[in-house]
Amino acid sequence: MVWEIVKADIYPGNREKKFGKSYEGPLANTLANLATYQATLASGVKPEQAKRNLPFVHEEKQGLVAIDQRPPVKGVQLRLYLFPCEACAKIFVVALGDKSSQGDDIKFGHRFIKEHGHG
Amino acid sequence: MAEALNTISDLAKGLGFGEKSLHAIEKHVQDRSTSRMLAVLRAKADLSQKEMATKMGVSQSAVSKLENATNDCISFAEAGRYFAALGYEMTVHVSRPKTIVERIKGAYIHLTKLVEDFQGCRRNDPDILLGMAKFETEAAKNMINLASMLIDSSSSKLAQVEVLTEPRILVDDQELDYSSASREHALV
Repeated sequence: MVWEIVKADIYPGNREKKFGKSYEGPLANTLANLATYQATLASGVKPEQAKRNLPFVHEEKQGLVAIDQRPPVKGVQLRLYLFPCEACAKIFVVALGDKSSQGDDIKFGHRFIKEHGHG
Repeated sequence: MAEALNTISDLAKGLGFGEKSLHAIEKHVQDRSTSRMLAVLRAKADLSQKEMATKMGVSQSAVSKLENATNDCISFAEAGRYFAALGYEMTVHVSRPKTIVERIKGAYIHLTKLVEDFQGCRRNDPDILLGMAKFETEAAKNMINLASMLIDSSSSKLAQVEVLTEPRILVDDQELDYSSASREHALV
């Protein structure tokens, strides 16, 4: 099964430039974790099971999940917010943020899910 | 419009990195292909890292370390133990690149050996004998389909070279007399 990665149409582009330049190492780890998450779903594992067994995946409610940069656990708390849509086999990349923007990013993700009729 | 991305690298490209950084990120992701496979198999088995550690008789941090290691930092022994804990066998296949003809010949030899091994599993139990016979019948049908595919294909090629009135079969570069072969090998 192929799970396509799709950048959400309300993705905050100005945010990613800031993080991209500042956190190259943690971002590389986060993207490696995204590759593992994508490969896990592609192997037929349901998003719920993937979330339970992959330690870098965090539950953010309403179907939203966040992938962190671990390892390392300490230091920058980078998070990539995703919505895995089982019906369309797509992983929507909703936002990239750190601990300081966590609250807004989660609200942003929930809004995206509702607007797209998944909420 | 939502933007479809073919790879993780496509996502990284939109993050304002220079070529050098992009290359480093791509390499970082590629260098974890083995550890990624380990994590995927564990998640597929519905095991947490802690449960996996218990199965392997190691600490959770050892499992985590293995699942985040680069390809050059995972030994055959470590990967073998990990796979064994999940109920998998690890086979390391080393060979020179082979042509498709060599691969087909190799597959035939391998298949013949497997069939011999299978036949060695025969037991004097009616259920086992029935199950084996059913499988052999199904396998034979598949082989007949394959043989038919090969004969049709070779016949059509030969037909382009010369006009044939009936299928021509070459065995070890020797032409087989189709009519006499049919008589000799006719099923009774």
